[in-house]
Amino acid sequence: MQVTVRLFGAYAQEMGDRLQVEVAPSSTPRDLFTLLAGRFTRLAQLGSHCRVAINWEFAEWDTPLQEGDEVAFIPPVSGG
Amino acid sequence: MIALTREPIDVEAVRRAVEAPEHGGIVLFLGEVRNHAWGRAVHALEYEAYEPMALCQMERLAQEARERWNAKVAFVHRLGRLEIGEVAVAIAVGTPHRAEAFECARWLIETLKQEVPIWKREFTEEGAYWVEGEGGQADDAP
Repeated sequence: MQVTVRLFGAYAQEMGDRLQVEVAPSSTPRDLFTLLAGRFTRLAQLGSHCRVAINWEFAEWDTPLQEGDEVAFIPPVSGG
Repeated sequence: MIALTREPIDVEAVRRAVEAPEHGGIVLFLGEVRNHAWGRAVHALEYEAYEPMALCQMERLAQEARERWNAKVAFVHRLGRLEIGEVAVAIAVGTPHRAEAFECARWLIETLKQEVPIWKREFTEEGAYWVEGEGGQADDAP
């Protein structure tokens, strides 16, 4: 199934801010992160500092993904 | 009024948005671009947001503020490039009594800094880098 991945800041500079990624059914954000971290060193460095959001809501790393979900890897925020 | 904007923030409009006859106090917090960070001179900032999620989170914080403090809330964050002294975030809170307005405004800015997906990139003499959380940084990709 296909999901959309959103990236920000330095990670978007490396990988682009929006990727379409093919994953196995019932993959989790953790699986997706592992897959992408194998391809992008900067994302791998972010590792455990990062939170995940699914369809604009913070989510758990073990949530099963659905076809078409938008998964965002959220580095520590720095607004304000 | 809950918004992200690429234009200069109209601070007076943010304040007016929380006026109400039953309010005895309005607290207006302005976050401005500072010319230094972690010992380095900063020339300018750039803000980026995960816009739809940032707006959802800001709406959620405003809703919680209304319920907890009986407050009227206006909340605007600027995006794009900002120069020193420009307003990056404006938060106005109106409540019947002043104590709640101070407390609520403080809670809103502190929670924004933890929970709303907005990031700043600092331009310094040593180059530009993305700020991560309080004090972390990720250098620009080569």
